[in-house]
Amino acid sequence: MKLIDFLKKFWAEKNTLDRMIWGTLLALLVVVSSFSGYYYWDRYVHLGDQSPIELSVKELEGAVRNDPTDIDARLNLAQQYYDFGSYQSAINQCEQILELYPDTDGAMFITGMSYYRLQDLDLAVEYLSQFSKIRKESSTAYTDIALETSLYFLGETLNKLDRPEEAIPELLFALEIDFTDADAMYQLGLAYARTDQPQLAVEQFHQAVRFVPDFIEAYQGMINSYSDMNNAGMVAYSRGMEAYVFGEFEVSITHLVAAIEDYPEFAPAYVGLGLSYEKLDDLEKAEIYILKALEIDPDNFLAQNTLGRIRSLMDNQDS
Amino acid sequence: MSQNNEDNMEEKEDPILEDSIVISEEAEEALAEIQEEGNRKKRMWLLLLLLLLLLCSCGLFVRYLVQPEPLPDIILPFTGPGSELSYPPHYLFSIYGLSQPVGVTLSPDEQLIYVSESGDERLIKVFDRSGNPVNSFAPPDTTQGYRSPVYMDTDDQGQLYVTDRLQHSIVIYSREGKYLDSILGTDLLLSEFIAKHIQGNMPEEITFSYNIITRELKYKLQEDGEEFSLPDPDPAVWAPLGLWINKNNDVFITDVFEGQHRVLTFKNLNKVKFGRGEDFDPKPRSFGASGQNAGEFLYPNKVVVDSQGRYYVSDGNNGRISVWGDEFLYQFGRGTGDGALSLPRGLMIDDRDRLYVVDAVDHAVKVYDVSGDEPIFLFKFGNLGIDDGLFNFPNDIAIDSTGRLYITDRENQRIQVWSY
Repeated sequence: MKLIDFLKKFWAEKNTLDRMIWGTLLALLVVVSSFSGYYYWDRYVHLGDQSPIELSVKELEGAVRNDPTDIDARLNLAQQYYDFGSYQSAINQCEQILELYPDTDGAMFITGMSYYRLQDLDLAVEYLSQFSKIRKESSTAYTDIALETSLYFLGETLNKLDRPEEAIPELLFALEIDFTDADAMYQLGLAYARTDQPQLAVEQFHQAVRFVPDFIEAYQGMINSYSDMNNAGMVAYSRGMEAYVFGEFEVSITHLVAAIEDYPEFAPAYVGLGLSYEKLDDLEKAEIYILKALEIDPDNFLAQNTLGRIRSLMDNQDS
Repeated sequence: MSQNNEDNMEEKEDPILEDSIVISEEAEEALAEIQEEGNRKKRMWLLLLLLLLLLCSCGLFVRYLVQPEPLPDIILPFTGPGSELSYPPHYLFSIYGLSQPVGVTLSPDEQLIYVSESGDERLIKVFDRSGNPVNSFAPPDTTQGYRSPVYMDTDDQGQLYVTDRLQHSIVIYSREGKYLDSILGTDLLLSEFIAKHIQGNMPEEITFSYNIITRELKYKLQEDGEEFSLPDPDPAVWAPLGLWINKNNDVFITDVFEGQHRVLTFKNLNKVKFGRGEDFDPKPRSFGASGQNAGEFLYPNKVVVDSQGRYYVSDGNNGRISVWGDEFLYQFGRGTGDGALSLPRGLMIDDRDRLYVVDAVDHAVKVYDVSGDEPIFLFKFGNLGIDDGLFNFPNDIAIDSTGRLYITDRENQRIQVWSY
């Protein structure tokens, strides 16, 4: 009875209805937001999901805990930390290895690379130099991929530290191991440019774009070095190719035509024109310039490749 | 005179004016009451509407907690073939710790995930729903060189049936992974063969094993007892590959024995007491033959049946899905475009008659609506790669009632779990 009386009184109150509306609205909001949250959690979130690297790190951490003197396990763990982006943890593991076995070159390499990633460039140079020195003395140095990687990063870091004279021998060694490393060529070009050897610099930049035709930084390096040499024609070529890589094909044509005026027998400029006209769907002009490039340099691989592609496109258009 | 008249007029008009004022106040009160009543009614309707919404939301929440299905599937009724409900699932997570997984299935309560490996130890590995390892097992007395588990499924009792490409048999395990028996042919169980030779009832404690490659058939009457050998049965004339079990516990198998590619269907296999030496003569229905013509198969990988009783066979090396009723009906999947198939392998069908085809070479899962007279390609998901959500030679698929999909990603050494 008391409850009924209470309800009657409650209902008779002036604001009862409003209060009920607001109460229901609040309850509705709570239910809808709870359901939405639960639904999202249930359908889109999976707690504790671990990537293969995370699992591998866990496993190796266990191995190191079981036998802290196991150098191989520590080195593997350091490598996994590095791969996972935990550079300071990688350095910590390597420091423990180097404390016990100071000649462990693998630990030097991982430490150097980790310092490079952490942008502590002086320490990166220190460890990568130590590693490279040991490996250069090995009989397998000229087939050593890790050494090539170390030399490349050593060269790049020395360039960043404005020590291009020191970078040059390291990058030259890197290219002896892998003569197709366009990044090493570019860094070597930069080092030559900074040591006032623009002719040697542009040679490296040209080599780099032979392997990577859209290597924009190499074209920019060419622009700077040819400008230093006051060679307007080749600056125009470099600017043309830079514009081509940026997708500004009409601009690239203007520059490349100017380059040809100065260097009418320079095949790469004709290739650049052919490529630009191809992008502008003017296949007939593209073919003419590519044929001209092949007339000058019949072995130009990029021109041969482009000609095949253009003719295939022309055949498709005809059919 | 005129002044008097005006005074008289005023005298006459005043009471009327007063009356009208009184009436107007009453009217206003009445009007206010009416308005108040109108407002109250409006608010009552609003309250009712909110209460209804609250009730619906609570009902929906409880419905989802009891049977978690994708929200669109709960809210919108299925409207027929090619319904707008066709939306692709999203990647959820991966289960690692596997070596070249090929087959996947779920326990009847959907709490366990069984995965068969084709690399390393070639085990059946068991994971819980969150992807934590639970157990692993293999046929007794075999090493990895003598076994190759592929497709599998569970019956309503939780018994696991696994086809083995090297052993040319279907191996039966309990839910926990205890070896129970092997189906050595369309009319022969290993326990049945042993029971005939020992000429008596099979003791409860008997253990036995058979390796078709080494041709060693051994049994022990007691766990610690003497081991006996038997001459092995006649060579199997079948090579079971695909295996699927429907809700009635009928088992559908693809047989890829040389020159004898076909589909076999066994009725109510769960009624057989495996491991007890019972006579086994289920007289399966068989259809199809080896070849490339319509109605023929080249390495049929799996077979599933839709709600209308039509069989869908992933005709692997013919790059198509073959559809059968009592006779061959039609085939689809050849040609070009998103819906075209390259190397269809794993198959699965859900309650809405959506057919999931795992295309191993296209590194994707292709989904068709087969509820109508003709299949309608809905969408595909996946692409070649190693990142989350990308596949590298996927092989098989399992689906649970909550809308989760488990896909074996063979060369990425994982099971990918997707969800609607």
